[in-house]
Amino acid sequence: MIIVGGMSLGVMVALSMKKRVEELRQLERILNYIQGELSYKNSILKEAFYEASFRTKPPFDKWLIAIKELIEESEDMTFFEIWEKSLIVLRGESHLKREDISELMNIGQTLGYLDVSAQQMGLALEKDNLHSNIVRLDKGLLNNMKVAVILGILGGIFLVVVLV
Amino acid sequence: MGSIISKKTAYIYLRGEGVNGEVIKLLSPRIRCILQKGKVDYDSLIELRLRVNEPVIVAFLWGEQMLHSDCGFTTDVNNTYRVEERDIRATIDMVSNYSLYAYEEELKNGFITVKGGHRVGLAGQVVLEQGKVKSVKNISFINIRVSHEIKGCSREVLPYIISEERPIHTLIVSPPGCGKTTLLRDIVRCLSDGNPFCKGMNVGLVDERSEIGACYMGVPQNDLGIRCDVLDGCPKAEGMIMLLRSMNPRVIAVDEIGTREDIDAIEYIINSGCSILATVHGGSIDDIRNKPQLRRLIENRMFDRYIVLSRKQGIGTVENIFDERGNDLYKASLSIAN
Repeated sequence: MIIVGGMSLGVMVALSMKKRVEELRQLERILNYIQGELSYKNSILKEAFYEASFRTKPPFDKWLIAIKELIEESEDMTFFEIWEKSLIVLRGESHLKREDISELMNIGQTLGYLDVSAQQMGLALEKDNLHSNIVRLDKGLLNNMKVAVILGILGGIFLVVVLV
Repeated sequence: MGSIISKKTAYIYLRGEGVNGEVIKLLSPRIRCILQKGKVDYDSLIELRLRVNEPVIVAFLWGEQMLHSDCGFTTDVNNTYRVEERDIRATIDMVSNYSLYAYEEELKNGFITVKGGHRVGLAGQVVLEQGKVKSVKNISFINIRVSHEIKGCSREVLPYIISEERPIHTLIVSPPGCGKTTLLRDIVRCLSDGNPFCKGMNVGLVDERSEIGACYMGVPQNDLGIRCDVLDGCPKAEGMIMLLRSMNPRVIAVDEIGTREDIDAIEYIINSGCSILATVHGGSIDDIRNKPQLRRLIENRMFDRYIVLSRKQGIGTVENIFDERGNDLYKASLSIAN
């Protein structure tokens, strides 16, 4: 039972790693949608987030709608403060790690600033960083997942030995 | 002769409740807070002006007042709240929904139209590109003009511009600030909805500066009737042809014609069988005749009716309504009535 429990924990960690990479890919797609909204339709930010929310899965759909609502209801916040607040919520509902959220924070400094080309360049830069991150994580994903499961099993065995 | 904007013929629709929700929300939190502490006559509110380091000036139908440093209004300039740069920044954020980049074209014209049809004028340091205005930076002056409609103000002129249940080609001639856009808007509404002189019909409106329909996200914030199609932010000449080809209008309305392209497009519209309703800046028909681009309008008798407005008896005073031969039908009917 304990060994099975350890293995389950290992599997959960492995799945979380896999989920993280999937969510980063979703984020990359979201940035693409937003880029399109800005360049093709010259959408304002809340419109861009709202439209993008229909093209993405949880937890990002709710996150994008939350940003849109925060923009509408905001009375005394800068856009960056709104963005920061929304990311705190996203952190709790996704498999993203602190460094991923930190990268996303940079996007909040770009959006809404200067003209459309500046937005596009900022988004393009963040997309590149995101993509590099995804490639790096993807490379070692299978091995890391195996290690997580094995460590889970070993952890279970160790506990059994200690208890016995 | 009289002003069409008199209470007996029209009502002023100033959207008191709407102003509270739409306009006040645009202001920075500190200014909003002071304003809401006092009693504001929203029904009479016309303008809110913000200038860095100067008092907030609020204009009403009956006069203007300055925002007090703590609560309400004052006429003592020493006790006023002084606008700071962060107030301007916060107001711009609210006006543009944190997306000023999306209003590049509007900034070139110096104003942004917000939900409710209110116009937010912006002034500051102009950014030029090849000698033309590209944008405005270091914005230090904001003028929020509250939108209002005057429904019913066209009632008096409708009988002169409708013949056999069809609107005839009409040109409204008026100096700035005399109500030509307000009159045009109401004529559009009456033609679109129907009126005692004709049934409702499809109206195509080219609203280059978003003044007539005051579209927000493509939706008119002013009442243009149930059968009006609007091309918002579109150059007039192109817009008229686009509407003719795509929206099957009975009449096309356009504000402030003046260029050769506008006149060419009007000629094309008239020759296609569609009625045209337009406005032009000028104090009289002679003013129009003296403008090289517009002389053609008079000489070729392109319009059947010319409505001349002034401010002699208030905004919207109808001075004359001429036919294509120059006969003053309006004064003739007044003399008959008298």
